[in-house]
Amino acid sequence: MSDLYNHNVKTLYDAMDQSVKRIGIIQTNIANSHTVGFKSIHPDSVMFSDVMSDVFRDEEQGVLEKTNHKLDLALTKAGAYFMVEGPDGKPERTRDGQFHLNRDGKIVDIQDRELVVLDQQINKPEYAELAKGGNIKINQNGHIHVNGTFIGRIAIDYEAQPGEKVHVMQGSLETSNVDLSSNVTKILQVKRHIDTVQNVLSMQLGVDKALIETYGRNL
Amino acid sequence: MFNQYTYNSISSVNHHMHDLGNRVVDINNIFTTGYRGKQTSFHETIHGMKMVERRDFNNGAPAKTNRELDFAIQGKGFFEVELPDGTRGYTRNGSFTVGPNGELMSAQGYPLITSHPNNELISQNYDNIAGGQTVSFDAGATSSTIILPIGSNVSLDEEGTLSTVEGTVLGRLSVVNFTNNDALQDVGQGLFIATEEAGDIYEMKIGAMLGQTQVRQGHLEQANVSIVDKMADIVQLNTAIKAEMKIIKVLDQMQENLNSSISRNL
Repeated sequence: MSDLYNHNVKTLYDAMDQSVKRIGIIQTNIANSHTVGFKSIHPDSVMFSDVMSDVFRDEEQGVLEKTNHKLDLALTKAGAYFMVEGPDGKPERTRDGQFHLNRDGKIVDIQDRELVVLDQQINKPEYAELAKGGNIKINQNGHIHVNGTFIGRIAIDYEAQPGEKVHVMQGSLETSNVDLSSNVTKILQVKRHIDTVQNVLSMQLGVDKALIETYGRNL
Repeated sequence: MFNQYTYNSISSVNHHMHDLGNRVVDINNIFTTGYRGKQTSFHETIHGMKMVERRDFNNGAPAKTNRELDFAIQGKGFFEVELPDGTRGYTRNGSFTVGPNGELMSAQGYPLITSHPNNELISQNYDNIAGGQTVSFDAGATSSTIILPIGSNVSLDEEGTLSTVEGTVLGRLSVVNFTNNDALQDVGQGLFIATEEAGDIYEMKIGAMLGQTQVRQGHLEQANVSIVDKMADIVQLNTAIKAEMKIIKVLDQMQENLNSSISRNL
C-alpha cells in the first residue's frame, strides 16, 4: 500500500518536473527569438530525468538578413557550423556569424573567440593590412581576400552530401529559427498538462486524507 | 525552478525593452547629420541570452546643402576633434563652423584637428593674399587646426586638401579610422571616443580610387537609419515581448494553482 502510494506520487512529481522543464525550454526559445543563428529546441524532446544537453535542436535554416557589415557571415545550409577557438584552445562550433576585428586585427566572434582560418598566410604583410581596415572580401567558398590577396579560408564543420555545397554569405546574418506562435501554443498545452498533474496530485492527497480520517476514527 | 524561469523571462523582457528603446532613439535621429544607427544583437547563453550593442558604421546617403563648410565622408573613417579636456573625439558630422580665431570647428564646437604626421601641407608657410595676413603653421607640430582666412571662400580637392578659391593651400582634412570600430565609445552629440579595445588609429587615404575614402564638400551625410526597417523591428520586438509576458503569466498561474490545490487538502 505504502509502496503503491509512494510510486504514484513519485510518478506525478516526475511528470510535473518534466513539464516544468518544458516550460523552461519554451522560455529559452522565446527569449532567443531574436538571437542570431539560434536553433529552436523541441520542447517534446525532454524525457524523464533528463538534462538540458540531451534536448533535440531544430536544425532548420533561419532566414538570412542583410546587414552590410563586412564581417557578418551566414551559412546557407542547415547543419553547417563555423569553427571558433574556445577559451581552452579547443575548437567550438557556432552558427552565430557576427564577427569583428579585435584590436590585434584578428577575426573574432561576439564572445571574443577567434575564428579558425585554414591555410592561414599570417606572415604576409597583407594580414597587417587586414588590421588596418583593408577591403575584406569573403567569397562563397569562405576564402578571405584582403585587397585582392588570399589570406586564408574559413573553417566550416559540415557533413556534405554528394553534390551539396555550403556557402558563406558575407554581409548577412542568419536569424533565429524560433517560431513564436507555435511556442506560445505549446506553453499553453504544457500549462494544461501541469494543471492536470496538479489536480491528480490533489486527488491523491484527498484519498490520503480520507484514508487517515476513516481509519483514524475507529482507533 | 519556477523562480529561475520567471527571472530569465524578466531578464529577456528587459533586454528586448532596451532594444525597443534603441529603435526609438534611432527613429528620433532619422534627420540627425552623420547619425550611426544602433544595432542590438543577442547571443545565446546557458540561461536565455545576452545582449550586445554595436553601431552600424555603414554609410548614410549624402544630401546636398551647397554650404561651403559642409563635408560628407563617403567611406570609412571619422573627422577628429579636440575635446575641452585635451583628449580626442571622433565624429561623422561634417557640418563645420568657424571659431572666433578663424579655426575650423566641428558642429559640436570643438576644434578640428589634422593630427597625424606626414601631413606636409600643414607645415607650409603661406601668404594669404585675400586676407592680407600671414598665417604660419609650426612645422614640428603633431597637431594643428585649420585656420580659415577672414572673408575667403574655401574649396576642397579630391585628396582632401582645403584651399581658398584663389589657390592658397590651407591644410588637409584628416579622416581617421580604427582597427576595431565596434569598440568606439559613444559619448553623445554624434561624438565617439577611442577605447583600448579599438586598437590602432590610422589615417584613411582620401581620394576617388576604389577602397579610398571620399570627402565631399557642400554635402552632409544623412543618418544611416531606415525608418521602415526600424518600424518592422519594433513590431517584431513587440511580439517577442508579448510572448515573454505570456510566459510570466503562465508561470504565475501555475504557482497560484499549486498553492490552491495543495492547500485545499490541508
